Amino acid sequence: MSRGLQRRSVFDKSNRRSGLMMTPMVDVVLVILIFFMASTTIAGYEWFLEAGVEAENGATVGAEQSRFTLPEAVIDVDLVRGVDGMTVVYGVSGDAGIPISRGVEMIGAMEIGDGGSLRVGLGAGDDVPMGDVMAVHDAWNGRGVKVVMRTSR
Amino acid sequence: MRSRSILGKQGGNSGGGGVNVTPMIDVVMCLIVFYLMVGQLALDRKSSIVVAETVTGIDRQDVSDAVVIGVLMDGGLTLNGEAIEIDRIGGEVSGMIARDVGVPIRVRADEEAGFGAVRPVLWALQEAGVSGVEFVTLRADGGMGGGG
Repeated sequence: MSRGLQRRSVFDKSNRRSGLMMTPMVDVVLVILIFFMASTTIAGYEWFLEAGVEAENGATVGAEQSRFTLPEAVIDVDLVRGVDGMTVVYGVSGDAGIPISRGVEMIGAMEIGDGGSLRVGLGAGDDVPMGDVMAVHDAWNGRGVKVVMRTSR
Repeated sequence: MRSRSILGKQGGNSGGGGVNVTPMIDVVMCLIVFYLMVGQLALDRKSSIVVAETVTGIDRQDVSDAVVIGVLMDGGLTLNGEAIEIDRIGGEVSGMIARDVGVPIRVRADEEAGFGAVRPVLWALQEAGVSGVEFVTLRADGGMGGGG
């Protein structure tokens, strides 16, 4: 049989190119890429809002203060579910209750300096969704104000 | 006729053989990805909590060693992914705090859950001696925060 018509074996290494094999490398790199993409999705883009928990006697919990330092100013902010199902914020605009969207705006526009010496006691009605509670918490947090969750029994 | 080994050695006497690791890594990685995704799907089904989105927050990477209390939309509770009754949370958390001092306590509350479902959790944490919690939220686009 002439050389031109000779059948080639798949195991024949005589003409195989030496050097880096790209196919398995691309294969493995793609799998690693998918693995890290999946891990990133699982980790998510979550972060955390810190809040103090009111002590059982109703006092807000904080660091022990010297008797020479002034106590922190505390603002009580309450969220209540209105008759129309919207959450109303009390404690931001005098005694009047205002819609939550307006309340968040007002907190953002307040002149409170660095906010470090201010503390907010945040309370809410049982039917107020946590999304609204977190929105108000977020607004205070953005101003550098510490938030303590009020949980009066 | 020479026999071929699955390990790539020809006839057992030619050099250059050994375990071919490329397909092994390939298969192992595929299995890891598969179990990772299935595990995540199972977890999502168990506690389908949609947390609120916030612009501010603290970015921490120590997710694994935190105590996470989940509050579902219907008021159901989970502790580190396992369903739990409210009566048991205080005891479990105080035990965890005793074992691992300084472990962060996180509350992962559904944005639709009422505050009435979260309040008993905070009471239980009070009784366990916890003075501060971290609420888990979703980072809004353009959010700002500090590292931790």
